[in-house]
Amino acid sequence: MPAEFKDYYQILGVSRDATAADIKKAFRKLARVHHPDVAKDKASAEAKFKELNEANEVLSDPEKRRKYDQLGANWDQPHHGQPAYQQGPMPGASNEFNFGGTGFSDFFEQYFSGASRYGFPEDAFAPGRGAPRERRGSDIEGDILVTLEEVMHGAVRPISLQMSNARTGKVEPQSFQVRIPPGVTDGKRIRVPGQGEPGSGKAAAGDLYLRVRHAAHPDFHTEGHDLYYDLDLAPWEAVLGAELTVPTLDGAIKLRIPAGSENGHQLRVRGRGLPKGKSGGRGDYHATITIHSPSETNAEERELWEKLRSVSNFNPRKAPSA
Amino acid sequence: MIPSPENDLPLYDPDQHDTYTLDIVARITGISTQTIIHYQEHGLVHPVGKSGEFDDDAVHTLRRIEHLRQTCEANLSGLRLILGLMDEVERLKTSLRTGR
Repeated sequence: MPAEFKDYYQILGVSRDATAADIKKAFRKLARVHHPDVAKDKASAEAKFKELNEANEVLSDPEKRRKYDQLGANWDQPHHGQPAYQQGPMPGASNEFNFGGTGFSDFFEQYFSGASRYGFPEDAFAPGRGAPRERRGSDIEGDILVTLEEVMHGAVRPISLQMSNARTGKVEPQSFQVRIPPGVTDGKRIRVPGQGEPGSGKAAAGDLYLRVRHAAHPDFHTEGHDLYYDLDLAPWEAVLGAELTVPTLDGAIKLRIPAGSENGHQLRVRGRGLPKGKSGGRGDYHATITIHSPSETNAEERELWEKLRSVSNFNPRKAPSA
Repeated sequence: MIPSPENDLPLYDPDQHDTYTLDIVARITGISTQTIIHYQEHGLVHPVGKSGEFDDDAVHTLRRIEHLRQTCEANLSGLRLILGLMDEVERLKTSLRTGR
């Protein structure tokens, strides 16, 4: 199946020996620029944002990155790199299939997707076993990349699925749309009845399962219905407390930072996470504090830090007295 | 499946909170109600809450069970072990993905 090679290093603008931290930093920087919410040309920004996500998905996963590096320039040579559909956790017969509209490119789908099929025994059509009895078609499972904005508001996604039937040799394309329900969590499977492999004889077709993958976001990550934001603070903001404006998925909010906040502390805002479906409730928003020290200081700042050192009795290496 | 308002493609509008009675699950999966009850008694599949009904995750598990039984000839102990390991691998993969 023809697929255009994707240079994920070039997409993220990093060298081939980039560290995991370099990749994370490059993704966040580019994703902020090309995020559909901020870019002027939303259509092209969305395509670019998905491309960045795909590159990040492969390069930030050590196993996928190793495989990608092995594929190298010979990616399209025969037998070089086994397609993902032959590596699924439950490989079945040799009917191959190809997804479109999942948010991933054909190249990703061919080599890195978690697509798999299961249902028929592997020898269901083996010669010498007589005519196979009527059997329900195999279920097919694939990943679908969903942005957090789509999770917030729900979306309708066009999907195409091409299957080449091992028995008939025919390529059987199917196109349909799937509604992504608001609040769908990462890892959740959306069942699309009857869009899996056709059954034999008059038996029913299998189902298609689309496993939801939340697209990486430059500012947030999710756990269940909760939304997490990395909040960077200056030392004086953590010590003295502050009132800051922080982003959420549905507008900025003011957040009061209590005096004496420490690294890793989480500030929770109830009900500003992802929607919880029909209940109308929402998960929580968590701002995780990271305190950054200035790497450069001018003469006046240095004088003030030195003054603080001389008057403060704070010692982070000394256990607090009982 | 319902017609799409935007174009001619059929639109699937799944309700992730939908649950199904035992009879409907049997029809969806092609597995007999007695076999489903048998799997339930051995802790391989669980109904949602106190309703005794099953959700799409249970349907998915039942299809996996049938595949494992047919292709790997797994018995109940084998099924329990394999399903547990598959769930664990998936959980760890998700945690690696969201944690990085």
